[in-house]
Amino acid sequence: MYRQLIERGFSTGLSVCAAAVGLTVLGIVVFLGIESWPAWQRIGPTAMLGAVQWNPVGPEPQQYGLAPMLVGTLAVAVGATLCAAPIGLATALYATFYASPRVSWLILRCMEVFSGIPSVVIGFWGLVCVVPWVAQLHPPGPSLLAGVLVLAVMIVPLFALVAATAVRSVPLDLIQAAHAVGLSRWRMICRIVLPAARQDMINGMVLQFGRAAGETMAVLMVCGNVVQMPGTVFDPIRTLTSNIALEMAYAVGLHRSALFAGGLVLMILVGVVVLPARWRGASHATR
Amino acid sequence: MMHHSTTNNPESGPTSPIPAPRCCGAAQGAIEIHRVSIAYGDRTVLRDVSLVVPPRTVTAIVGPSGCGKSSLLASINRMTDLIDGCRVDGEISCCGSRIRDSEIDLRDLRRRAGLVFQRPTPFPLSIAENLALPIREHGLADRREMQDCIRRALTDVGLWEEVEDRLHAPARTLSGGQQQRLCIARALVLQPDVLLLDEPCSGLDPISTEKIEALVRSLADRISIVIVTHNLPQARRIADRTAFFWVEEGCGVLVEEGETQQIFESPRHPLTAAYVSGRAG
Amino acid sequence: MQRVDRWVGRMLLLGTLLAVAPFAWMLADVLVLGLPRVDWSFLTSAPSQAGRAGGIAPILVSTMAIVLVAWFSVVPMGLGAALALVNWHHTNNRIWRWSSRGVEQSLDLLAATPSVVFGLFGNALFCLYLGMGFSILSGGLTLACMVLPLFVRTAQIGLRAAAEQLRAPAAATGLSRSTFYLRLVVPAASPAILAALALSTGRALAETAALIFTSGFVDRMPTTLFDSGRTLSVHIYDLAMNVPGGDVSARATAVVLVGALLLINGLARLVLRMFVRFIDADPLPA
Repeated sequence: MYRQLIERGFSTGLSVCAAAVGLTVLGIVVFLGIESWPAWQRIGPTAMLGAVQWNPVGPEPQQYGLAPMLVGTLAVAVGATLCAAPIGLATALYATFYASPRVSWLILRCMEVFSGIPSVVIGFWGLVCVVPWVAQLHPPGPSLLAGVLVLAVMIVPLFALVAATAVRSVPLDLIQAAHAVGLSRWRMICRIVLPAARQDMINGMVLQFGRAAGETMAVLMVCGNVVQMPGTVFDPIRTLTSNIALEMAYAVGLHRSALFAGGLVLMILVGVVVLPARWRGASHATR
Repeated sequence: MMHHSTTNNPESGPTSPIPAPRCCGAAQGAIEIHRVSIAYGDRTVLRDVSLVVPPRTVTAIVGPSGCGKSSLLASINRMTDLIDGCRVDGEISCCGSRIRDSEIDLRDLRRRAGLVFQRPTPFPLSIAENLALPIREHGLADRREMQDCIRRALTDVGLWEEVEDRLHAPARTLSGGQQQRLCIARALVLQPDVLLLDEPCSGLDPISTEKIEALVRSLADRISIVIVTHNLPQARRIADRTAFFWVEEGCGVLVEEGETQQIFESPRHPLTAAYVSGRAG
Repeated sequence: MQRVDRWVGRMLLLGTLLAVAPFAWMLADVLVLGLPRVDWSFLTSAPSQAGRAGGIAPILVSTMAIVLVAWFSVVPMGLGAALALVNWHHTNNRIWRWSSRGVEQSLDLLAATPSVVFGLFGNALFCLYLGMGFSILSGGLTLACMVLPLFVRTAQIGLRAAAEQLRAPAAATGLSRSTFYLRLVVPAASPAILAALALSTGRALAETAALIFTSGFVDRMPTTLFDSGRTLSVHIYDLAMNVPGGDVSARATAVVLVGALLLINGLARLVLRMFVRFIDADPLPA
């Protein structure tokens, strides 16, 4: 009887933990929904997502256009992913096919270490090193370009690790067959390795895009945070994430609600882009 | 026909103890297997086997690989429940209780019918704790009797003198043969009525094998033992009775069963004769 | 042909250098200008002049407190969930299989969620709705939510491996489910659990965005869990963005933070690698 109670309690405890973990994500969506509801209702989705003016606390009329921030987020994340992908891929290919085993080991360990460096440190480096450099190219310095460069630096290590794993999972007999017919390393990479690893690479890129779009500190510190549609890469921009980080501390009422709406938009954006890639990755891994 | 719902965890089913006959009547067998078939998904691995294991005897199950010997052994204490998609049809009773009853207390069944695997499976605990954990789990001894219980079991399997001074060392530091004897001791501390051994010596050196064979013989005056083995001389050395299985169209069947001497010296079935003389298998 | 191949090799090497160079620059910058500031008194004194001078003692204490709060919530919760997933995975019951798939998918979504969104959630739930205000408690709980997927997934790998190995012998001995998991599986998987904890700690230490509006900015020594406190990352952010002339202190703090992270991540990978070897070297049949 006593024993049965313990067993019952144990199973229930496990289920409760699992349920709580499973419901965390639901809780997040629900809280974002509740807190942003006034904004959706009183300003309206089209006015928020379509308007280009963001003026939540200045003189009347207040404006809550998220469009420039959404564009800024997409621009900086796409730019960073496009910059990082070739570099990460080159690193993975060099480490796998060209470097000596010791150098290869060193490169991959470095990528592991670099992938753990906090984004606030990368952002700080961007602020004191990259921004002045961009300013020399074209003032003012804090800009879309600076954001793209800093984010690219941030996502390269993880992308390189994912790509290296993908390249290594290409079946050995394919590679041996390529050697057997005397293909050069480069031909083998182009014709055999890259096509076989393509799906994993794309998944990795999408996941890194999600990380870039969701990153706050690095972009907050180097992008200038001016709410505007970027005309050139040297214009300062503000992203959805930095908007929240900058204004959350003092936002009240509708303003606060609009910030939560921004968070919800971000969550949906990242979820829609990243989740299918994760599922594909999972089904790929179990195959 | 019935097949048990497979609840796959170490313990399932109600924990309320059902009255379990501790001893087997002289007339009935310790284990009675009646028209049992075992299937994994669509593939039948054992068809229509009936076999009686008398109490306090050693019964050897021999036959080529893939004839369902191990599956039959695992079905006796319902370890087959753990295998996804495994289905057992027919009747099996062990020590007087029908094991296919949904009412049966699985933990108690597995206590009464101990199973030892082909390769040693000590828990990642100390030597003493390997035995103490099951004892505590089944409430078979209190704190004071624990030391005695452990010593008795280790003495039974001839391990006591070898490990006396390092009872608290990890069980993995033992040699393979010692680990296997520890696993037998782990089954013995639960005071089983039946011991099921699934090729317990297949990975061991001759000296360890000899020790385990002697152990099996010495246990036979207390409990019933069923041993699956590939090793015919071994079956001949230690078994009172032998059951010979064969593969027929990819599916295991029982060809012949009887006194060990009769199986080896005057087999009735030509297949048995061929197998025991080394001409088939 | 050979020439093309050599050229390609050079291009790839260039790409590799492009990947490594920024970090080399970054670490050199931070170390050269920051390391001289790091000494015993930097670690043990309070900041002054908004952090331009003085040390980081209260910030270290707040960081540890926040990490401890996160540990105490993520370990029981995450371990329970990981065990449930391992247990459910091994049942034939369709409901449990669906549940485990549901939990795993929500973990995936949680892992993809931007950290600033965790900040919003923590601010709404812990600070306002549960009335904890800007506090170490709110920050720690928010971080716990954030590192949950990493912790559960990593622990789950180890627990599953251990459970698969031990399930048959445990069943043959008639062990109950709770004994099986608590006395055998969890101890056997403890290296993986430790590694999961270390990786989660690394992730938590690196986090800034989820904390600036849950645990707040205060740089005084906290006295209770309901005090606001800033972590090392928040300190770096504040010094860099809001304090003119704070960049040397920011670099020194970054040295401490990156040093701690390297130590923790290195330890985690070491333990995990040992675990893998241990499992490979001494497999039990399932």
